[in-house]
Amino acid sequence: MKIAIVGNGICGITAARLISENSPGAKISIFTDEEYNYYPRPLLDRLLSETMDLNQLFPYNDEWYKKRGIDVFLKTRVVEIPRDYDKVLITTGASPFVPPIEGIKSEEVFTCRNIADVLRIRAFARGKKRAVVIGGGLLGLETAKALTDRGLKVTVIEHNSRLLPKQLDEEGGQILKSRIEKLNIEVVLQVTCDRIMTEGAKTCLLSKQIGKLEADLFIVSAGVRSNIELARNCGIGIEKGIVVDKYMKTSCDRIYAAGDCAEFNGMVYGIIPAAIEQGTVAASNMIDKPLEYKGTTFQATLKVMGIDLTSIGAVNPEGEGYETVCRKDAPKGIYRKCIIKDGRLIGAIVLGEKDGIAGLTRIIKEGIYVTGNKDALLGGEAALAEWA
Amino acid sequence: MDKYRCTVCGYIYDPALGDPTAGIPAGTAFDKLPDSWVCPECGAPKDMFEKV
Repeated sequence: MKIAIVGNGICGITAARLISENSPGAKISIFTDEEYNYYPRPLLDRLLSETMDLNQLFPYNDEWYKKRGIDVFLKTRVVEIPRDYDKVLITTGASPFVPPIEGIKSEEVFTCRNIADVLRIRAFARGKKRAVVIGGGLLGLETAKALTDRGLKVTVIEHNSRLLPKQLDEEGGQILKSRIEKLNIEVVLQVTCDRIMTEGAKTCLLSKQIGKLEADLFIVSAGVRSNIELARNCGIGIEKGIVVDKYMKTSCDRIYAAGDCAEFNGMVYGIIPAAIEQGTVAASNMIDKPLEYKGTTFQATLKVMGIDLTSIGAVNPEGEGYETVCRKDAPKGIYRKCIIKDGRLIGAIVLGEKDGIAGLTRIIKEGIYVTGNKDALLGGEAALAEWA
Repeated sequence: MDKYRCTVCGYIYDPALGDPTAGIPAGTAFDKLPDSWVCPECGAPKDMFEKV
C-alpha cells in the first residue's frame, strides 16, 4: 500500500509511525514545505532563547525514517492531491493568524510558528532592547519569556481582561499576571493593537487605549488558522478547517485529514493531544482497521519555567447549573478550581501546583461521578484516589 | 536510571524527580511507570518517549 502524508508535524509523524508499525510493507511518503525533518514545536521557545541548539531539536535521524519505509520530501509544497497513492492524509496544520492592521507587514513584526520564524527573530533581535508580544495566550507568554531570557525587555498586550482567556478565569488570570510580572515581563490588559507605524528610526505600536508603545520588534501571537488551501483547491469540504467524520475521512474518498487543519463536529482543536489522537485514528482507518474518534478533552499546560499551570476541560462554561470548588492562596501564587456539572467533573484549573493533574484529567476524561467530599478535588493524587 | 524525552514536546522524564503531577515518587524508573501514564506537559502516551 502506498500512502502520502502532507505535513510533518506531530500529527503526520504519529500517523506515519503507526502505519509503518501496523502495516509492514506500506510505502509512506511525507511531504512538507519546511526544510527540516519532524521536530517538536513546543521546543521552539528554547531555540528562541538559545538554551537549545537547532541540531538538538530532531528526535528522529535518517535511519529512523529508513527503517520504517518513510520517505520525507522536504521543501515540497503540495498544491494538488498526490496521484499514485492508495490513501492520502492531510496534516497541513495551522498558521499564525495575523490581524489586518495597518503596518503589520513591517519588517519589525514577526510571527513565531516554525524553525525559520525563530531563526529570523533570533537574527533580528541581536543587540535589540525592547519587544512587544501582541497576544497573551499560551504561545505569547512562552515567547515573551524566551525573549526575556535573551535579555530583552518585553511587554505583552492582551485585548481581553485576563491572560490566557481560554484556559483561565478572572481570578486565575490575576494570579498568573502577578507571577508573570515577577519574571520582569510587563503585562497590559484590555489593550488593542490598532496600528504599527515607523517614525524615522523608531517603530511604535499605536493603541487607542494607551497611545504609543515603542519597541525594536513585535511578535504577533493572536492564535492560528487551519491551513486549508490544499483542500480548497481540490474541492474537499471545508469550513473553518477540513471537515472530517469520526473516521477522520474528508468529503473525498481515500483522503483523510487530522490535526490542526481538521474540523470535527464543528471544532478545530488546535492542541497537541487532539493532533495525536486524530493522527492515531486516521492511521488506523487508512490501513482498514476501523477506529472511531470521540473528541479530545481540552488540556493545556503553560511551559514557562517557574510557573506551573494546567487547564483541563471546560473552565469557563456558559449558562447555569454548574457547581465550583476553589482553593486560592494569592501570596503563594496558588489557585485551584474544579467545575462540576450534573455530578461530573468537567473542568479544572491548577495554578502554582503540580500534584493531582493526572488524576483530575482522568476523572474528567472518564466522566466519573464525583460524589462525596468535593473539596478533595482540590487536593493532590492522594486525595483524588477517592474516585479511582 | 535512564532519562527519557517526549518526542512530542521535549519534556524530559527524570527518574530522580519522578512526576509530581501524577503522584509518581522520585526514584521511579521509566519502565516502571504505569501504562496509563502520559506526558505531563502534552499528554503524549508512553510509547512516544525515547531514551536520552
